[in-house]
Amino acid sequence: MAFPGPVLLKRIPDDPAQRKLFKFKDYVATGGYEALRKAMAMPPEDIIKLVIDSGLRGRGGAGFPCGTKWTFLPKDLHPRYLAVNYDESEPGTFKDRYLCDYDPHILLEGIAIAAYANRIAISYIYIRGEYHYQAKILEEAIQEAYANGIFGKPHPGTDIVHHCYLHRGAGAYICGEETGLLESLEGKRGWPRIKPPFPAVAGAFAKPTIINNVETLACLPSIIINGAAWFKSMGTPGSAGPKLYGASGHVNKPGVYEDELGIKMSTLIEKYCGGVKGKYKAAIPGGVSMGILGTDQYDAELDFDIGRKYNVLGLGTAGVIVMNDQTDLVVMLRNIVRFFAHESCGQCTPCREGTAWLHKMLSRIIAGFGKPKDFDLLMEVALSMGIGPGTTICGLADGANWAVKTFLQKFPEDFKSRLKSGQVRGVLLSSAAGV
Amino acid sequence: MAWIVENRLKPYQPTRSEPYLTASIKKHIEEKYFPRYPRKQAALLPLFHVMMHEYGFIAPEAMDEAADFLGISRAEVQDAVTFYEEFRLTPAGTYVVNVCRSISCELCGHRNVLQRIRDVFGIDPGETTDDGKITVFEVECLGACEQAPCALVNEDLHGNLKPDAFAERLRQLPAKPAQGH
Amino acid sequence: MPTMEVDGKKVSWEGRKMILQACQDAGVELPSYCYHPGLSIVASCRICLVEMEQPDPKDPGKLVRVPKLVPSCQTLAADGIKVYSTSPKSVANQKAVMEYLLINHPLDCPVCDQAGECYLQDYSYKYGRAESRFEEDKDKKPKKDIGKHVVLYSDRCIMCTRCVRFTREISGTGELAVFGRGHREQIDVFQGKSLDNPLSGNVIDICPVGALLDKDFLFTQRVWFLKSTPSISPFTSGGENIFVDHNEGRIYRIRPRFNQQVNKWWISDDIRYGFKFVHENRLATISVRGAQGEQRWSKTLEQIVRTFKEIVAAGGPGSTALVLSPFDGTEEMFLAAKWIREIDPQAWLMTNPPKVEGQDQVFKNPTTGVVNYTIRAEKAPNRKGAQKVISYFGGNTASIEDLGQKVQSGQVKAVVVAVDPIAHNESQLVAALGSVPTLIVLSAHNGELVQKASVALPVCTWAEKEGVFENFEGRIQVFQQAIAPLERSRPLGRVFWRLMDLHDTYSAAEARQLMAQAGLTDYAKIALPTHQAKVELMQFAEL
Repeated sequence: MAFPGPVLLKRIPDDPAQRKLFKFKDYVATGGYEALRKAMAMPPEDIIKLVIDSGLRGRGGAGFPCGTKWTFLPKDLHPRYLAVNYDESEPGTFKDRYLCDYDPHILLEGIAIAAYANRIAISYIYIRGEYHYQAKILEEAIQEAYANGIFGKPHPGTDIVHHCYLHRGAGAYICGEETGLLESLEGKRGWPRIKPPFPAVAGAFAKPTIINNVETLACLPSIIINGAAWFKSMGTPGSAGPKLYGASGHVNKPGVYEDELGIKMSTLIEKYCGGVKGKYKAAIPGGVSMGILGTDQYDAELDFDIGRKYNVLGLGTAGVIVMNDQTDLVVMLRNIVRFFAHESCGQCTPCREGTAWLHKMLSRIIAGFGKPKDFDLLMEVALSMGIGPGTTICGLADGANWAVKTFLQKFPEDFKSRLKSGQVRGVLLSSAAGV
Repeated sequence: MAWIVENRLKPYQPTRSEPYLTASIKKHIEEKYFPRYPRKQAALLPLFHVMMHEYGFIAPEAMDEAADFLGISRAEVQDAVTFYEEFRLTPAGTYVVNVCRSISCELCGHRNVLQRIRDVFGIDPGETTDDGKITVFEVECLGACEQAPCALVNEDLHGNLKPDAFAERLRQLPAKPAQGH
Repeated sequence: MPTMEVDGKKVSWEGRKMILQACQDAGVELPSYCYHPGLSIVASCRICLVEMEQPDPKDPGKLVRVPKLVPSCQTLAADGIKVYSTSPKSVANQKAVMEYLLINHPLDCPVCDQAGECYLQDYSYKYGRAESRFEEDKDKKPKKDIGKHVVLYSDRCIMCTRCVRFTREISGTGELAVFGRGHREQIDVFQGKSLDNPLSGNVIDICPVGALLDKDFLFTQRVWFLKSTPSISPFTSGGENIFVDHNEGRIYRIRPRFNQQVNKWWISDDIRYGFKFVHENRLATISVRGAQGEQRWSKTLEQIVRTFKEIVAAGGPGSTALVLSPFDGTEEMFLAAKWIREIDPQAWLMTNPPKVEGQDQVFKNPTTGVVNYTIRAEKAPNRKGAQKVISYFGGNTASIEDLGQKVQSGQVKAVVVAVDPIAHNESQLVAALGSVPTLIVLSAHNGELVQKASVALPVCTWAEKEGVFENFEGRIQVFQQAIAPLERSRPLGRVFWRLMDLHDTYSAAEARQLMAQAGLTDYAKIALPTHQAKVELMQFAEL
C-alpha cells in the first residue's frame, strides 16, 4: 500500500484559485493521449489482459472487475457499443463531475482506449440532464477530440470507425442503473431490463454493449503508461488502485480528494477535509444506497471489503457523507427514503410500494404519531423488499433496504425515543406530500 | 379522487396554432441526431431537450407531432416524456429555481433557503410568483454536494447558498434572461 | 423428456419453456400476475419468485441451492432441478408482495366487477397475509374513460403492464402506456387517442384485477352466477373459440377460449359484443298466412309436408327450392336438404352468400412479425358446411338471382328459406322471393321476409342449440347449447327432423351419426370441447 500522489486529479491542484479547464492542447502538453498512442501499438487482447491483471474494479458503485466485464462481449458479434455512465445521481456523489469539470480529456482518452481494446463502433456518453455546464464543456472536448483524430477514425487494423456521442439524460436516478441507462438511450422510459439477456450480449439496440463508469475509464490511461504492478501497488489486495473520495455534509472542507483504496475514513476526514464540523456521530460511506456507519466505525477502511467488515452494502461510489451529533437521524433517514420513493421506477411491486410505504411511515413518526411497533414494522418492510438478492429487478430496493436496516440496527435509540405509546393519529396527514 | 372520471375520448385543448415541431427543429434533429442512432426513437430525449429549451414546457401538440416524427405511438411518447423530471407538461416561470433537497443539502440547511424564498417571494415548492418570474421546485441530488446547499437556476448552478444572499440574487435577476433559457 | 421437481411433484415438459409455463401446462399452480403466455415476459410483479436447487456443474450428482430467489416466469426449466414455492423464503416473498399490492388497493370488492375472478382475491386467500399492517393514507387515482368499450379504474391497477404489452405486441397500435414514475404512475392513453382498435376488448380479459372493465358488462351480473358454455363464434368464418357466459336464459358476455391453432387467447370486439341479437327482436310465434290465432307446430308441419307434396305432384320435380343460411350448423343443413330432396328429387339447393367486408385484417407483432390474430372478412361461420352439404347432394343448384328468375317464370313455386340472424341482403332476398306462392321462412327474428311468408316458423339462434361449424380452413368445431331456446322457437335441425317423421327427440349428435352413415365420415367422431375451467372446491378456514 503506497500512494504516489494524484493520478486522476493530477491536473486539478488543491488550491481552487489555480484550477482551470484543460483544453486539448493543455491536456497534450501535460502528457495527454500518450497512453492512447501506446495502447494502439498493442494488440487489443493484451490491453484487456493488462486491465484484468491490474485489478481495476468498477468505480460506479458495484465494484465489478472491469477487465472481466470486457471479456463477456461475444467474439465476432458487431457492431458493439460502449455506454459511459456519467449519470451521477447517487446522493453524496459528485466525483465524476468534479473530474470532468477540469479534465474532460482524461475521460475521452479512457473511452478511446476502451473502444480500441474492444473494437467498439460507437461510444455513447450518457450524462445526467442536470449537468448543463458539464454537458457543454464535454461537447466542446469531444469536438476537439474529433478535430484531432481521436474519434471518427477506424481502429487500427480494422474498418470499424469509432464515434463518440453525448446523450443527455433528463432527471432520473434509475437511468444510472446499467439497463435503465440503455433503455433511456433508446428513447424509452428508463425501466431496467430483466437479465438475462445481459447487456454484454444484447444491450443498446439489442447489440453487445459494455457499460463503464467515468472514473473507471479515467483510470485506463495511467494503467497503460505505468502497468498493472504499479496500479496494484496502491490499495489493498482486493481493491487496487487510486480512488476519488467525495466528502460532504458536516466536514470543514467538503470536496473531492484522491488517495489509494483502503484508507481509513478517519484519515480522509482528518487529513483532507479538515475534520468534522462538531463531533462525529455517523457517516454514509459511499452514496446513500450503502447504509450508515456507526459512531464506533469512524476508522472503517474505505475499500471494497467494507460491506463484509462493517455491515454496510459496500463501498459504492465512495461519496462519504458525514453527520455530526446534532443531526436528527430520523429526519435523515426520511430524506433517504423519500429519495428512493421519488426515484423508484415503479416496475416491480416491492420497490414501488415498499419505498412509498416507508416514506409515509417515517413522515408519520416525525410528525409525532409513531408507535413502538413501528420500529419492528420499519425493519420488516425494509427486509421484505429484499428477502434475498434478486427479489427485485434492479438494486434500488436493495439500497433502500440497506439504508433503513443499518440506520435501525446501529442507532436504535434515536428511533425508539420518537415512538411513544398511546399516541393516536388525530390529524389526516398528507404524508406523501413532497414525494 | 376515485370518483373522478377523466374522459380520454375528447381531443386535447390546443395551446397554439403553429406547430411546436418547427421545420428548423426537425432539420436540426434529422441532421445532428438521427445519424447517431440505429433507430429514430432514440432521438426522443435530444428532441424534447430542444423543446424544453425553446418553449419551457411540453404541450400535448408537441408530443403529438413528435410521435409521427419519431415513428412511435403518441402514448409511447408521453410514456417516455412523463418519466423524466426535467420534462414538465405545464409552463413555469421565467426562472425555474431547482433547490436540491437530498441528504448533504439537507444536512447543510436547504430548508433555510426554502424558508427565505417563502418569506421573500411568498411561494412554496411547486408554485410560481404572481408576476411569473420565479418558480421554485425541490429536486433530488444535483451532484454538487461539496457546495451544499445548492440550487439550479435555469441552467446555472449556484452553490454554497446563504439564504439572504441567494434570495437577494433572485430578486435582482432581470425580467428576461440573458439569452434563450 | 426432461423432468423437474416442483414442491415434490414431478413435472415434465417438451421444448424450451420457463418454469412457470411448464408448471401451468402440467396443472401445477405457481402464482403470477404479470406473466401471460401470449405476451412478452417482464418479471415485474415478483410474486412468482421461487427457491431453486440445480445440479452442480462440477459434480452432476449433487444439487446446489441457488442463493437468490429466482423468478419462475423468467428462469428456464432444466432437467433435474428442484423448485420450492412453499419454502419459508418463497412464502415470505409471496406474503410480502401480496401485502404491497394491497396497501394502496381500494376496498372495492363489493362494487367491483372482477370479484369472483380476481387474482388479488384468489392469491390473497392462498398466498397472502390475513391482516394488513398499513395505517397510512392510500394513494388515490382517478377513474378514466379510455375507450369505446373499456373503462379504467386506476386505483385498482397493480401495474402488471399486461394491457400495455397487449397494445404494443398483439394489436400493434400502442394506445396504452404508463405515465409518470414510481408509486404515482398510472396506465393511461394519450388525450384524444383512445383505446380504439378492433381487439380492444381483450385487455379486459387479461387484466388480473378490476382495473380495466367492460362498459357493456359493468354492474350487470356477478360472475359466480354465470355459467360458461364452450362455443364457437358465429360472427366470422374464423371459427374462434369462445365461452358464452349466461345465467337464467340470458347471455351476459362472451369471452375467448384458448385454442392454439385458431384464435389463441384473443377475440375481436365484433365477436365480443355482437351477441345482442340473441335477445332482440325475436320472432316468437308461428304465423300462417290467412290463419288467425295461435298455430301449433305439429299441425303446421303436417300442412307444410302436404303442400309440398301437392306442389311437386303438380309442377314436377324442380319446382321447389331450399335456401340455406351459412349461420346454421352443418347437421341442420344436411337434414333440411335431405328432407326437401326426399319430396322433390330435383329441388334447387343453394346458400345465402355471406357478407364479405373488405379484406382479412391481420394483426402482427411489429417487432417480430408474428401473426397474432386475423379478423376474417367473411362474416358467417359455416359457408363451408353449406357447400359441403350441397355438393354431397349434388343435383340442381343456383344463385339467388337465378332463383329469383325461376320464381318469376313460375318454374319454382315453393321455397324454404332459412334466414341469417344478422341479415345483410334482406332486400335482395325479398326482391327474389317475395312473390313465391308458397314461402316457408325459418327465422329467429322479425323482418321483411317474415312479413311476406306463407308460413313463418320461429327458430333458435346459435346460442340456443348445438351443432358444428366448419371454418375457413376446414376445421370442424362443435358449438354447444348455452341457453334454452326462446319459448316456442325450435332449433332448425329439430324442425326438419320432425318433418321427416324421425322419432321425436332430435339431438345434433344423432344427426351427425346419420351424416356419417350417409357417407360424410368427417362427422363420425367429433370431439366435444374439453372445458378447461378448474372446479374450485370450497375451502373452509380453520377456526
